[in-house]
Amino acid sequence: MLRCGVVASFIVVAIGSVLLFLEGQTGYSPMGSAEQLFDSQNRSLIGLAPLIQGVASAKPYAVIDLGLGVLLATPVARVVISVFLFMDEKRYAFVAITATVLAILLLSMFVVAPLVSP
Amino acid sequence: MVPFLTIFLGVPPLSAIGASIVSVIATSSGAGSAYVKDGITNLRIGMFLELATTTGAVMGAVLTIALARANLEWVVYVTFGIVLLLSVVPLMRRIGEELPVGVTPDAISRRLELNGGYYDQALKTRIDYQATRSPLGLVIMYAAGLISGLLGIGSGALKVLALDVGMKLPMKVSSTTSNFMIGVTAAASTGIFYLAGYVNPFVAAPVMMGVLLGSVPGTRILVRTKNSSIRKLFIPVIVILAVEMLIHGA
Repeated sequence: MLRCGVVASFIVVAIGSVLLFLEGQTGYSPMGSAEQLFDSQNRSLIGLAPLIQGVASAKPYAVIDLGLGVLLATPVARVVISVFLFMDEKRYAFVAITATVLAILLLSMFVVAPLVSP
Repeated sequence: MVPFLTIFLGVPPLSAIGASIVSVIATSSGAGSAYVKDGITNLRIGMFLELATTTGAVMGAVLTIALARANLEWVVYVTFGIVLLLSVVPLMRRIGEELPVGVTPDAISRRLELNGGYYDQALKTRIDYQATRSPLGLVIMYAAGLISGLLGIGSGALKVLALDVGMKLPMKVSSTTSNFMIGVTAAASTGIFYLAGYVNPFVAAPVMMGVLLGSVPGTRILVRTKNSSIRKLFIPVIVILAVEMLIHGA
């Protein structure tokens, strides 16, 4: 299950990288000097809608971002599975602990991230 | 990896940290899944301590973004240099192989049954163990999470320290459980870097693919290599990088 997530994300990132090389453009920011490439303007997409639009039009950066998103979701999925695992074992203290860890993860993604976004 | 990206390729620290933490998830999820099947990883102890590491990781990520924005990146460089230098200390000291004996659980460990057992293939016997000093474990784990989020590293060494030295778990349980924990901790800070838009795809894609491809033969070689030879190789590399980071920050 975990390995599936990692392998899937690797494949998607690889496809995005191949697209980047073939097209020679990111689909978003300019791609010339090293300064431009490493610049803070050169960054992951914010929000689901631009990501879906970007992937649909096969923009290289959007495809890479999708792969990285799958990678990020892998450990989160593992925590979700653990909640059910502990539920099965009737260890309710650990159901609560694991649910709290999940809440921290979701909070960081959907509450903290927008606050520190540039 | 962060020192390499910033010093040799001129990648800004925040982009380097973002790319690095993404690859930490990749290695932990790849190697970690194999360990869980071994029955050595203690999911209960790991998840209990994740309460501290994820909280620390969120703080670390927010702190590093704030420092970068305020052009105080040198603080990150210097912290990195110091953490690298400190990480050499446990490497140089030979950690005892013996199993912990006479461990009395603290109140939290007893209440949550933070214990377990596994079959040790090297000793050909079943090992039962019991955790102790869980508040100390939580404190060290919080620090591990903070450093992980701040510098974009897995901080596995600090996690092993918390489990092995702090909570007196057998070394094999400590190393496998910490490996499992690294991925979840990294997810907490990566979520912030990624969703706030601080992950540069141009940097993160090759780093992530390289780390994953490298970890496959790396793990195989690691199994066959003596611990002492790995240490001899790593110590000078870490010291050189630490000094470079300190010079860069000063």
